[in-house]
Amino acid sequence: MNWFAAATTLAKRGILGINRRNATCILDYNPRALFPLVDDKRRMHDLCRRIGVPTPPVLAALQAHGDLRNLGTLLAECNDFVLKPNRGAAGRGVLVIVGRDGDRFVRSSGKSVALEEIRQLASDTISGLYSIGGQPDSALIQYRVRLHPAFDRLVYQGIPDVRVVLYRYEPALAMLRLPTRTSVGRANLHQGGIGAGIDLDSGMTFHAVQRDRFVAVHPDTGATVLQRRVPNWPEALVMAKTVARAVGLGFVGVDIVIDADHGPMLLEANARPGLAIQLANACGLQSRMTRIDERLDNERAMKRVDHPNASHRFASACS
Amino acid sequence: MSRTAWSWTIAFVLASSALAVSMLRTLTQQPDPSGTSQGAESIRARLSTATSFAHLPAPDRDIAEFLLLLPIAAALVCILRNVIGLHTYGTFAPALIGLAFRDVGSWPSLLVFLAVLFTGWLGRRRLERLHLLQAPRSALMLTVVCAMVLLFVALAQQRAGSIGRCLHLFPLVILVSMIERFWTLDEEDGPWESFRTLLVTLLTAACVAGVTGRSWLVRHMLAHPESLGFVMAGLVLLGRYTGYRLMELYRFRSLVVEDRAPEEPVSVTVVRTTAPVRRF
Repeated sequence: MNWFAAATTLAKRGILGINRRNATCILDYNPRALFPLVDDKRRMHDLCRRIGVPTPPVLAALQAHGDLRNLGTLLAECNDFVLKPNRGAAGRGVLVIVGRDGDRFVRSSGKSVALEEIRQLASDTISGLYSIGGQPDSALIQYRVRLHPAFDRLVYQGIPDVRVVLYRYEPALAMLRLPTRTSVGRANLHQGGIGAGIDLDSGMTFHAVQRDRFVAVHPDTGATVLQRRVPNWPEALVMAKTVARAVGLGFVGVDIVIDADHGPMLLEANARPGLAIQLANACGLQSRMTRIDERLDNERAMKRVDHPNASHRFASACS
Repeated sequence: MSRTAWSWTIAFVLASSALAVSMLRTLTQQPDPSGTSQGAESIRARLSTATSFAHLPAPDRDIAEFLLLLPIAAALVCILRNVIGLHTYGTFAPALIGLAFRDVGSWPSLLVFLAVLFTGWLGRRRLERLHLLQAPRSALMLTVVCAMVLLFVALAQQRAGSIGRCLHLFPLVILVSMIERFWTLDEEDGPWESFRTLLVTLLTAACVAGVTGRSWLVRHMLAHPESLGFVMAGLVLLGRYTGYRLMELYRFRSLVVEDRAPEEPVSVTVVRTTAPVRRF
């Protein structure tokens, strides 16, 4: 493989590399002070409540090891829930319980766990084993999102989500992440999930990858993952733009789930979105970002009245 | 001025100051640095010898050697990470491990290190069933690791104390945090991912050991410590390197093929024939 030719081709297609992402997108457009807001799921929930964006409700938050003593009574009425770290990343430390089996809990994979194992997982989470930076954390018990019928044959033991990467509050690329058997029911591309690129105008998937290789059908269900429409797509796109604007990050990945009963709900926002979305869309982020820059700068040049707080934050970063 | 332009300026300033100091040192180098010359020349001579570490006694020289080689090891790890794209356990763990084992004669120590790592991993699996809190569990692992290294030290006392020599550099805390991360990665992503990262970490450490073990490099750094200015200049430039990582060129290889447009997925090439079905 001719490395130099490959690098030139990728640059021509506007593919964003991780060095450029870290140096220009994240360091230039994402103020570090906003990272704690985005990494902390509870603070994001409070923000969403303030701006009127629906999110899966948090049933309980376990902040100290002492709270684990009442875990049994807390979970007595819950038949299905998700236990996740408040400041986790990449789907680590997430436990999805779909039902009960006597006094044991049934996971999405079908295996059952005892209360003691859930307590251990929560204890590790509170100690910070799954949090970004290893800091002490809290464990959240959250409403379990119901699978939307449109995704019925597209997933294996999990819930898909939509990841939209926004640049300067405008959507650049979007993908639908589908759980597979390889990813153990997690909608995470690094663990083997499928990423299907979504056309921003129509909400239809047109290209899909698994582990950096092109796929057209789901390996576990056999259903085609292409030419599928994401339900409530315009609503989800507006939600992503609203959240990005409210958070204030210039380069952000917004994760949205489509609940069967409640429609699109914000799952979390990501200050360091991954680059696999480019493979899922077979399109480079850099080319989209350049187009957004041109469009926004044209609009700004056409505006005769100068608003003091319109895009001036990015003016110095663009120079 | 843009950030990249600032980086180039700072790197230039650092490199040229290092070069200037080097040239100054060469110009003032006396053939006999024992101070037989008089007046201002003797002050300059004393200055030039005072700022080089080549003739320090052995224990101080070891410390100076370590302090001079650590930035080079760190810069090497940065190149392997940001230009090649190798993913390791911890950013500077491979640098410290490589430095600890840079002597070719440290094979026994390396084997001890690997043995401790493996046994630590086994111990961690056993410990899992006790469901201990995370901090005391890590401290317990650290104690077990210390006990094992002590055992090897006691055993090695009969032979040449080659383990003792590197012991003060033995990255024990690194070892414990590596065991913990190895375990977590093993649990989360499976043994393939965890062993691969371990292998990459050890390869990076071996690379660092290979480079920092060169005696000409060690002699040069001891005699010309201002070369750290070059290392700093290189790191400032590397900090603004926005090109692709080598591993990324492999990761995005499917996008290097230019002729496939995303609207026409390759695997769904339906040959549209309108030939009528012949019935006989």
